Amino acid sequence: MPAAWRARDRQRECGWSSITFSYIRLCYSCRVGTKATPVVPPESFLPLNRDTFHILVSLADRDRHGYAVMQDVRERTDGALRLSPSSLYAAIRRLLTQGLIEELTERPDPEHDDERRRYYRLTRQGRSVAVAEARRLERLLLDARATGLLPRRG
Amino acid sequence: MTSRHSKGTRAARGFRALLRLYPAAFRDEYGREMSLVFADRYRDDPGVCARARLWAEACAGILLEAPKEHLRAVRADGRLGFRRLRQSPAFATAAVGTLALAIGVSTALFSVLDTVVLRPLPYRSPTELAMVWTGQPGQRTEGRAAYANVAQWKQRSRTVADLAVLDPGSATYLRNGVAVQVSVARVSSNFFSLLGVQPLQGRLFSADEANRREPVALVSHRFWTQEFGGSPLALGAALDVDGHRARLIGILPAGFRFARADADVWEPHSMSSEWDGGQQLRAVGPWFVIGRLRPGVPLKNAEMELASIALAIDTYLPASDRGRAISVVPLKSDVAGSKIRAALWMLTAAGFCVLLIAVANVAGLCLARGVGRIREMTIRAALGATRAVLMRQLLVEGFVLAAVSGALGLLIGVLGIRLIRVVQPAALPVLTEATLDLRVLAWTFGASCLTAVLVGLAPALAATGRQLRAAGADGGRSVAGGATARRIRQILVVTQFAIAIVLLTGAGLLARSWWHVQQIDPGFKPDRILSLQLSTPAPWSAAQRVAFYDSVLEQVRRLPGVLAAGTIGDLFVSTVAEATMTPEAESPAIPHTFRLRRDEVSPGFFEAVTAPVIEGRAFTDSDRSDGPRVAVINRLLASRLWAGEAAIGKRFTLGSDAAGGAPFTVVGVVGDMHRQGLEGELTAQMFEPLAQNPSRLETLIVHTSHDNPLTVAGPIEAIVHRIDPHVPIYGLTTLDARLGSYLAERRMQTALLIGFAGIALVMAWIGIHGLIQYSVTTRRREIAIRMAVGARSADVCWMILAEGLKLSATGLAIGLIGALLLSRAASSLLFGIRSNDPSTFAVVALLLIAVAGAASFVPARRATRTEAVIALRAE
Repeated sequence: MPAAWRARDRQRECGWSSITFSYIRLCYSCRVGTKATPVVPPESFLPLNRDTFHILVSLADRDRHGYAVMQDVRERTDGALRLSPSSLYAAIRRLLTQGLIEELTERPDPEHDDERRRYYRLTRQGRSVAVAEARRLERLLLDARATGLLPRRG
Repeated sequence: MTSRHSKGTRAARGFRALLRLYPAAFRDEYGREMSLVFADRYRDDPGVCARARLWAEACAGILLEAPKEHLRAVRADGRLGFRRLRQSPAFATAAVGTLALAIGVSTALFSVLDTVVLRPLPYRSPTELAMVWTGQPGQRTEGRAAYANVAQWKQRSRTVADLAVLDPGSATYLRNGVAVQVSVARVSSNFFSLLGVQPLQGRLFSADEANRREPVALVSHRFWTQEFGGSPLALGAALDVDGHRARLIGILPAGFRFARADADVWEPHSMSSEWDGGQQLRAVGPWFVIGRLRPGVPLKNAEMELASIALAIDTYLPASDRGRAISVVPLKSDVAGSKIRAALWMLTAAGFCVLLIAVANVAGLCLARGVGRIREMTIRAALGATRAVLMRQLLVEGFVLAAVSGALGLLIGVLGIRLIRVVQPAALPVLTEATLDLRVLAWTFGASCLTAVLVGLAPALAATGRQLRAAGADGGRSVAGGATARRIRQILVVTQFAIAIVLLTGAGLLARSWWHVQQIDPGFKPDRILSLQLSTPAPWSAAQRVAFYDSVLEQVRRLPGVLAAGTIGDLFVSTVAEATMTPEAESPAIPHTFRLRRDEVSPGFFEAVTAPVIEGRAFTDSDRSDGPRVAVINRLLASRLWAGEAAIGKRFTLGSDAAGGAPFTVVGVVGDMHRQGLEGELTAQMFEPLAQNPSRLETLIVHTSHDNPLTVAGPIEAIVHRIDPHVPIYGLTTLDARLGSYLAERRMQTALLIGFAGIALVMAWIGIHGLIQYSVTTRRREIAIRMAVGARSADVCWMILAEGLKLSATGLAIGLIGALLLSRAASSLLFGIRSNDPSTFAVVALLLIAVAGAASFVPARRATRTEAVIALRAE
């Protein structure tokens, strides 16, 4: 489908993944055809899906294509989280419509037989959402340490 | 650049095959990437284990995600459909309104069917319950049994777990000294336990208490709230029923109801005034018998076993009472007679037919609307939308329409159910329980789904046909343009006509039956006659009763405006019991057993109801209790016993032998009266003088000169109260109203069906008009060309008209066959007319052809006015 139509589709489908998000979208009166995605507070996306968070984390340091994301996630979690192609691309599509990542033009990847692959990059919104989630997890960790659930540092 | 992956290893090809589960849009977008990712992982993880795991993950992932994607696409289509609906309010209102009304009406009708016919009875294991009847073999078995017989059956039967008896009636209840009539039922002690009903408070009475004739009683929940305000102190209170004080020992639950006895007071069977100890085996008795079969025993087995037991008991009965047949009927069938059930099925089917017609209409509307979108569809198809995608969108739009209509229809259905509860047609008390339960909801849901599929399918098939490209070029106005749409609309119109024929024929047959019923002469003249019922206290002797009735009649006759007055036990009866009669003849005297209605009437009764006395005389004051036993019989009985001879002066006895009591002498023959409603068959009737057999309950019939007989009600009540204040008056009504209530059910059925048929006719008219109009519009070019090359306007007009008539003829043929089959199925509802009555069918067929012709005529005429040049230039 032409890119223009894809973008319009994205505008139309205000992410249904969380009720709060759609309510906030309503408050910001998302309209079909507006050029820029309106700014939405990152807290409205939390808590993030596990897959989603890992994908955002893996895109945080550099742009990757689908397989690279999958490999990165597998390595970082020591094989605990293996994304199948379907769940990976379902998540990617969701992130695209939410405006947390964006597609780059296809370019060949020398590491993987020079095949033309689509690269993804974190948007500013995506980065702030990922940071917000990381902070949330950090707070949870602090709470766990404070009550003695986990050994204190040092 | 050649790609190794585009050739594909076998694994990659397999994965790509799996990807076909995704919707095409998603596949186009991400399919290539996903195949690449899969191929990469496949290559990087060699080894059977790893690859097997990869396959497992891939399959699981796709099977989970693909439906989600499809759902997402459907939701997007749904939102689009909603928006489109909002953008065309006229179409939306028309379509949603029609469908919602049709769904609502059929829901309300189905809920009535559900309440009366489909819902299981509110007792324990209701499929095991049955009524047991006795009767003459070969005749309808509706006879009640004697107590001793029932006891024997219970003792000897192995298929029947328990048998209980019931005798409904009415009694006088003293409420603070004022006498009122209450319905009472006398039941055996195992009645409630047989049904599985526990009292709300208190207890049931035991078999011992029943045998000892303990004056105890249970009351209904309604009675308890009315008389005691629902107070828990009611237990143990004393009720003055029929002159004896009954102790209240239990209160029945609120929802309890038994079809044959909607009683307020339930007493042990031994408290019945006709109780004689229950030891004597008899052919017939006054008790209704309810049985519970053992689990898993078929009805037929129980019936055969009881019949064989009855045969064994027959040896103790006199010869003329032997050989009675037994029938066991499921309790469910007893609640609503087969006629009512047939009527309800018929009405539900008619409502469903109306729904189908409404759906066909709306589908036609959608089609007409869809034609304008052919261009849009063509462009989308050219841009890559597959036929499946386009069809999906149109189907979802239809589904949205149906969902909205279904929701609205449910609301209308609920309102309809409330209305039915209030109005209570057909006087079925169980209708007060009509609610929206699971079955009714399922029906509404099913109807909406059917609507969705049919309404969405029509435009989906039309707009995505192979002519898409050709049609799109000129927006559907070409010669071949819109052909599929037109064909589908033709099919719809034919369906509408067929259904309309079925409904119209049914309505016609019912209307004629109604007319026939109206023509029946009831045997008496019900105009200006007041009817009320008197109930004298049980302890009174026969002489006291006679004196009472005599003084009431004397004073009533003196009232201004009263032309005549008389009494009878009850003019209208529901069932007629059997009796044996032996006409006196030279030996041997042959007893006859048949359905006989025996009544006592006062002098002046036959004049009051204007029943013609054909031979002899009516009763006079000289027929006193000490005089010879006389009787007046009706013409049917006279012809049965003494055909061809004069019945006056003949004698007969009741019972099987000459020693059955003093013989009656026939002094008069009256015309036959329809006592079981207008449609019930005539039965043999005999009348005795009131003085010779006064009963406790009498109906007072007063013929007045006022148009509204109720104006004399007040003075009559005053008279009765003056004579004896302890005698309650109830059942105050006019004879017209009572007769009318028999007709009410038939009237409602006929009116409903005529209404449905009218709606069907209007919709069929609209359908064919719309179709011919559409046909003319899409064939404008063709018509213009024809006229340009020399066709006359009459030819063109006829061509268009012929299309309409051809369609209606096809619909007619199909509909007539359907109507024949269905009317045969519903023949029990007809009266005085055959189910394949040719004149009705002919009239309906002609009517429909006329409607089709008229509806096609206007667009046909308009077509001939097309200016050829203008039409062609407009292209």
